[in-house]
Order: sequence, then structure tokens, then C-alpha cells
Amino acid sequence: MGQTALEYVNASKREQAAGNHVKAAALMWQATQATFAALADAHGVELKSLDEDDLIMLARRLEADGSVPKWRYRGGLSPGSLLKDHAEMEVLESYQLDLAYETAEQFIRGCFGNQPSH
Amino acid sequence: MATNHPTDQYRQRAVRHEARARNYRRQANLLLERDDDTDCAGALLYESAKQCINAVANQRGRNPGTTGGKVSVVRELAQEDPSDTSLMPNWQRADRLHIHADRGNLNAIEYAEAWEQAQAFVESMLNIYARNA
Repeated sequence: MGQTALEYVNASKREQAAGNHVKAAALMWQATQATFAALADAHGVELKSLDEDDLIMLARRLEADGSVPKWRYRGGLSPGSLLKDHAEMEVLESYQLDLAYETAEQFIRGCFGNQPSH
Repeated sequence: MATNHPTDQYRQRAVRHEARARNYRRQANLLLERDDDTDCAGALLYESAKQCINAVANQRGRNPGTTGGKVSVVRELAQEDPSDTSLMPNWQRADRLHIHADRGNLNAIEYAEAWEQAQAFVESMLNIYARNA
């Protein structure tokens, strides 16, 4: 069984602290994927894969009934997607990375009902 | 967001940036619709997003300068209205369009998502500008 989303977050934070940003970004993307997998489970929705396409479709579906504000899940996916880009291509500057780590963690912890640790 | 009393020079800059933001958005839409040129359209929409930030910052007597400075402005705006949680993630999608313009990395679904959220960012920023005008 894979790690839980929060375990991935914590692993990412350790890599961030060590300055290993490609690995840290990949782990935060995995945390985002695990979060969406948990959201699919919680809503009884079948998730075909953890590919970004399918996560986008899931986020749209979860917002479609209007029970959460628009962009709640689609926006939550944004920093994770940027971090995926960094893990694959090393394209982010440090200010973009810091912001993406912060907002990805905020979204993930928000989904699991706990606040970021500092 | 910290506000300084805007001088006439800042007010004039704000007007110019707002006009550029609208123009770049219009050109981006044209490029996508007419030529299906995703790279150029994405780059222009990202530029529109940056011009919006400059316009709102100038309106408040600020000059954000670098892209990092612009991000600080977005962060402050997001903190001003915690009920609207879309500003920062939508900016991040605009950022992704910028990466795509250089790397061509997004597939059609990812691009459509980035495009829609970047459009939403520009619209939100123009609304903030209009409220403060």
C-alpha cells in the first residue's frame, strides 16, 4: 500500500529542508495525487488513474454539484501540477517553489481537516 | 495589501497597464480561436495576468517590479479577501501557461484547465481594479 497523503507531505518537507527540490516537488505531487484518490473514495467516485487528466476530471466533477465553492478542488490541484512540472523539468524559481509547497500543503491538510505545521 | 497614496504618475501607469492587460487578453483569445496557437496564446494570457497585477499595484501606489514582487502582490490581495480562495491557484495556472509557452509540456486537457483558470485570474484582477478605480 502506498503512503498516505500526509506522509508524502512530511517526506516532501524533509527533502525541502535538505534542499532536494526535485524530490521534494515529486513527493508533494504524490501527496496531491493521494489526496484526490482519498477524495474519490470519500465521494464514491471511480478514479481511472492518478494521471493529471483524470484528477482534473475528478476535480471538475466534485465541483459540479455546487456543494463546494468553484475552484475549491480545481484550484487545489494547481500547485501540485506546478510541482509536477518542477519534478520533471526543474522549471520553477525559488519564490514559485516556496509558494507552491505552501499552497499545496494548505490544500492537502485542509482536505484532511488539519492545519499546516510550521 | 499595503497601499501608498498613488501619485499621478502611478495612476497613469495603472491605466496603461489595465489597457495592456485587456489588449493582451483579446489578442490571446484571437490567437487561440483563429490560429489554434496554444504557445503564443498562453504566453500572451500570462502577460495579461502580469499586467493586471501591475495595474492593481500601481493603483495603490506600488511598483511590484520583478515577477517575485508580483507574486507578493497576489498573495497580499488573496489575504485581503480570504473568502475568495481562487486568486492564488488561478495565478499558478497562469504560471503554468508560461512554462508551457517555453516547454510545450501540457496536453489538451491540462492546457484547457490552465487556460480557463488563467482567464478567471485575469477577470478577477480586472474586477479588483474596477472596484478601486
